[in-house]
Amino acid sequence: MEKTTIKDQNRKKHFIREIIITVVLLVFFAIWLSPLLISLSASLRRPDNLSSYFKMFTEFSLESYKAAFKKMNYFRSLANSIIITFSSVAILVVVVCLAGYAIARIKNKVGSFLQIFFMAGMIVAAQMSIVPMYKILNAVGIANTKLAPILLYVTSSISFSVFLCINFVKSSVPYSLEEAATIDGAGVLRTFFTIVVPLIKPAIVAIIITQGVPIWNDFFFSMMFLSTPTQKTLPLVMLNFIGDMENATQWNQLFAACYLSAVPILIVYAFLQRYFISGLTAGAVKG
Amino acid sequence: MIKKKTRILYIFVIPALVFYLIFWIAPVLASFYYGLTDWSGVGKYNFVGLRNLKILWNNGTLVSSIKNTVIYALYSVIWGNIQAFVLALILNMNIRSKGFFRTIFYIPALFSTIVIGFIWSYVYAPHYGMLYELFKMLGLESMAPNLLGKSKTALIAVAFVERWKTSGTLTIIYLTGLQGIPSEAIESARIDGCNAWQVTRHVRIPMIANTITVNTMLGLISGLKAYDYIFTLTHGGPGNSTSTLMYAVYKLAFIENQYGVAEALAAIAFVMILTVSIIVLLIMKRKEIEA
Repeated sequence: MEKTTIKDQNRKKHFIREIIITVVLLVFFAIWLSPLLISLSASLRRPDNLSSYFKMFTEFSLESYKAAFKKMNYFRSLANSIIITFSSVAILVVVVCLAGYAIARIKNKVGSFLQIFFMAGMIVAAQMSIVPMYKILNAVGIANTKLAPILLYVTSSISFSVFLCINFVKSSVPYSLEEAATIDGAGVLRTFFTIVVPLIKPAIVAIIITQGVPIWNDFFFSMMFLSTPTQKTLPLVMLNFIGDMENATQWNQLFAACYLSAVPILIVYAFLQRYFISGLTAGAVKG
Repeated sequence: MIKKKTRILYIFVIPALVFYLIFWIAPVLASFYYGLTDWSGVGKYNFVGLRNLKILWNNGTLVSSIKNTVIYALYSVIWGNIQAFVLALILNMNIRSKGFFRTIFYIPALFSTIVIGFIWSYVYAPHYGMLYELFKMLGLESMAPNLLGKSKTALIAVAFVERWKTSGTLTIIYLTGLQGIPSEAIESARIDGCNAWQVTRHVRIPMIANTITVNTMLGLISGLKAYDYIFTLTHGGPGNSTSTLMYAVYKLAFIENQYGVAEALAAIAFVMILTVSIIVLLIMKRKEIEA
C-alpha cells in the first residue's frame, strides 16, 4: 500500500516536471521561430497593408503572393531548380557510391592516400577558385549552361559524401558477405549492386539530404554561371527582390516571395521527414 | 584474383577522381599561381612574386579578415555546440512532445540563405524591424540597437543568423547520439551514486565523443569558410567589420578587380584552414581517447 503511494507520487512528480519542461520549450521555440511566424503573417497581407507586423494573422489575402509569383516567374524558376538539383544529386550519388565503396576496400597505401586526398577537399571554398573554374568550363564551352552549376555542385559535394560513404561501408558492410558472393562466382560489379548498394542505402539517403538541401538552396554557383533570365533558379530570382528591402512598402510581397521559394522543400519535408532526420544523423553519429 | 578485383576497384574511383581533379583541385592550384601575379581578371598579367602579400599586409585586409573569420568560426562552433547539446539533453528527457519539437526545430535549415537573409534583414532593420518594434512596445524605443549597423555588433549578429539556421540540425544530431547510449550504462552510473551532472560528464559526453568531434570539425571548417550570410546581410560592412576571408576574396576578385591579390589571400586562407583543422582534429582525437 505504502509502495504504491510512493510510485504515484513519483509519477505525479514526473508529470509535473514534464509539463514544466514542455511549457519552457514551447516558449523557447515560439521566440526562436518568431521571425518565421511574423514573416509568414506579413506575407498573407495585401501589399498595401502597412500596419504593425506584430498584429499577427489579422488578414489573410493572397494578393502579395500573386504579385511575387509573377515577378519570380515561378514555374520556370521552379523547373530550373528541380532540373539542376535532381541532376546534381543523381550524378553525385552514383559517382560517390562507386568511389566510396572502392576506397573503403582498396586495402593498401593508395587506398589510404585517396581517402585523405578526397577529405582534404572539404577545406576548399568555392570562392577561392571560381575564376579558374569558369575558365575551364568556358574552354569546354558550357560556362553559360545549366551543366556548369550541375558539374560544380557534384564536385563541391564529393569530399564530404565520399568521406561519409567510406565510413559507412567500413562500419556497416561486412566483408565476409562480399567474400561469400565472390566465392559463389559473383564479379565485383554484381557484388556491388546486389550486396553493397542495398546495405548502404542509409548512406545514400544521408548524401541526398545533407547535399541535396544545400544544392537546392545555393545561389553562388548559379549566380556565377546562369546569367540569362530563363535559366534562373528559385534562390537566384530571390536576388531580384533585393531592391525591395529599401522600400518598406514592398516587404509584404518580399515575404510572400520568400515563402513561395521555400514551399517546395517544406512540402517534401512534410512527407519525407523521417528520411531527413535519419539522413542528417547517419553521417555524424555513425562515422 | 585479388589483384584483378583491386584493379576494378580503381576503375570505380575514376569518375569521382576526374570531377575532383578537374573542377576542384586544378582550379585551386591555378588560383595559387594567380596569387603570384598582378592579374586583374582580364587581359595580360605579370609575375610579381610575393608583392600581393605585402599589399594585403599594408592595407590591413590580411589582419582584419583573419580576425573576423576566427571570431565568426569560434562563436559558431563553441556557442552552437553548447546550445545544441543542452537542448538535446532537455529533449532527451522523455518528453512526449519531443518529436514535434524536433520537427519544427529543423525548419529554418530548409530555407535558402537568401531567404534567411531577407527575413533577418527585417528582424535587424533599424526604425521598422522586429527588434525595433519590440523595444518600442516596451517603451524603450531610444535604446533599440542597430545590430548590423554598428561595427562592434555586426559580426556576431551575422554569425547568430547562421546559428539560428543550423542549430536545429546540430541538436537533432546530438539527440540521436544521446538516444544511442545504452540505458544500462546510465542506470549503473546512477546506482553508483552519480548525480545528473556527473552522469552527463562521465557517461554521456564520453559516449558521444565521436559525434562531438564530427560536429566541431564540420562547424569549424564551414565557419572558417563563412561567406553566404555576409553576402546576404552586410556585404562586409560597416567598414570591413564583417569581411571574412572568403568574403574579402570575393570582393577583391569581383568588385575591386584585383584578382591576383584576391588569390594571394585565398592561398593564405587555404593554408590557415588546413593548419587549424589538423591541429583541432588532433586535439579532439586525443581528448576522445582520454574521455
